[in-house]
Amino acid sequence: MTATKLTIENITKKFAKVTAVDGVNLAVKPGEFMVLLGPSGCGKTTLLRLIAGLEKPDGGTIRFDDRVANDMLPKARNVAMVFQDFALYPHMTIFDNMRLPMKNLGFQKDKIKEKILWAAKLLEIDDLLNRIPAQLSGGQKQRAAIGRAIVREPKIFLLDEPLANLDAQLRMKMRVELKELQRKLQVTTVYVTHDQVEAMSMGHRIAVMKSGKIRQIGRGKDLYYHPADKFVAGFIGAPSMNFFEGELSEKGGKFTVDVGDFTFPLPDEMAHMAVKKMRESKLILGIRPEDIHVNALKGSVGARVESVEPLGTETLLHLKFNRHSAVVRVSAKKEYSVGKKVNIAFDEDAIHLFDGKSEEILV
Amino acid sequence: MKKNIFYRASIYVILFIIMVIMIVPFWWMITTSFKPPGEIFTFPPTIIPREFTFSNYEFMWSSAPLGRFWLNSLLIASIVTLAVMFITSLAGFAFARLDFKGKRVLFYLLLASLTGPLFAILIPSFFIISKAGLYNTYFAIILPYIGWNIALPTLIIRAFFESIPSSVGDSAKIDGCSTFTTYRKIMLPLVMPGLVTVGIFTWMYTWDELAWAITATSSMEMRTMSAGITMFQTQYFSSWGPLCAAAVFGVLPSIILYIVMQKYYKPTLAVTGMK
Repeated sequence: MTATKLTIENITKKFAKVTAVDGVNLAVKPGEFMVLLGPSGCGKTTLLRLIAGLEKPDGGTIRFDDRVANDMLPKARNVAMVFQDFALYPHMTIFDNMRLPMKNLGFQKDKIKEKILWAAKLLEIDDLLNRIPAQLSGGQKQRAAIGRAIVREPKIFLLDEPLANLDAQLRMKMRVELKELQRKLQVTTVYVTHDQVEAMSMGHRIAVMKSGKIRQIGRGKDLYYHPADKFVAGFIGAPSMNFFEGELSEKGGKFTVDVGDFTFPLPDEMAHMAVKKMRESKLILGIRPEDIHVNALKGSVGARVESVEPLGTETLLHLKFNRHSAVVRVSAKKEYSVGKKVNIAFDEDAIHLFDGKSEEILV
Repeated sequence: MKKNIFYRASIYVILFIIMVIMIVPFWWMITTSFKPPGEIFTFPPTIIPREFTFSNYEFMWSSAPLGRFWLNSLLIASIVTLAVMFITSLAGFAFARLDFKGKRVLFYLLLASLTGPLFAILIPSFFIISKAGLYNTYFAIILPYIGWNIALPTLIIRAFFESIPSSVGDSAKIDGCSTFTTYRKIMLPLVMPGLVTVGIFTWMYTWDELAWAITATSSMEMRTMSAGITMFQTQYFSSWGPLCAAAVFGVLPSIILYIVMQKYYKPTLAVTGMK
């Protein structure tokens, strides 16, 4: 079966006065694993439900390949959805749970059995087919729900935070398995999550959403190193990027950013690019925790260690300046104590500058 | 620890008192039905009859067509119970899961119908039944019983439907189920415990109801069990022995029904394993 192309054009969905999805455009390539990432209430689940046909859009078009799907019933769309709470039918055995969609879609009896056994084997739940959901563990229920989704040979997989109810260890395992499964089946997939680690590790591309709009679409790496705005920069990466609000000033052709606690001299090229794009002198300087060097000699700024988080392979230092604070990622080999004064320096090449008002990226 | 024991003990004492209050009338009814007339009102009362007799049962059986009454009640209660379960499951599903015009108004009307006491609608109902030419027929009893038993059970069943996670309904839609298939195959089995509860209460109401049963019928052939039992009680004289025998006979189906249905009486979503 060839994979389906999903095209979303200018889709809008309102609930009373709240606009949940606001003019979203998204093109998912055939066989692509697309992740919708964003905080709670950003509209990612509503967008998924619009694709599934569980909600009707107020405007815009949804296409499966070249067919407009706006008025198609969920059944006619032939999409499969895995829900956060698994949504297995509690009174049916796992076998019957998997059989129901196939029966409704008119699969032959032999084919139904064959596909269910295939999926059960693939997901290693073949010995659980006669049990009801209440007799399964969280991970097993998850597999059963995925099984129900894949047996029907859907055009598109829709997954709504399917790992959110699992414990951390199982989540990591299922992450790898789901990714592998998607690679094997080559079905176009839209995956909703608020967990950026899941998004980065699983998706071919990620669409970051906020307030019903897509802020940026791209590969995980692109979003991490080239965020489109302050929101994306802050949302992608854990711990989050450090931000310093400041003003750009010029003295004798040299540009500096004054953030209050310290001034940071900008490299000429970066300064010129920023000046071209910015509308006023206020800007936000962003830098990731691993791009701040502690106990540096050159261009040092003084800070105080406020807390230390040893994570095994690395340590996170929470630093306090006068007004600002920052998180820095350092090697676990060195010991730091709370209250200690340190000198820090920013890696010039890793600095991001955002417009102070629109918060869009300048450089 | 000490407080805990005291707490538990007091709970058992209270439960025991409630149990005694519940059981004594039953025990009284059963033993009286086996006592000869002279022993019924002896003081102190005998807990176990000194002399067992079946004469009350013989008298009861020969003096009134109780078999007919019993079958009438069985027929009426069965039809009313099944009809109420069927209608309220559909109505509950619609109120809980579907969006339609006038849903709120309909729901308030349903609530309003709960407020009228039976005796306020007895006479109007009588006129409706008479004008419809149904007086002294099974329909005269069955139709109002169904109508009067729709509102509260619908509210109960609606709550059961609402307790099913919305994702189950969404999942059914995506899996190609029509609205009716979702109701029948997915939702109905999940609200079965609620429906059985409603069924048992409807059965008990129908089996015990007296006021309408004697208003809507006049002939012996149409009388129900509860109406039949009153025949042993007249203005000047009550035959307590046969009356209790008839009561034992009359209460048996309800007890059997309750025992049989008890296993369905368990909380729904605890067994669903949603999360």
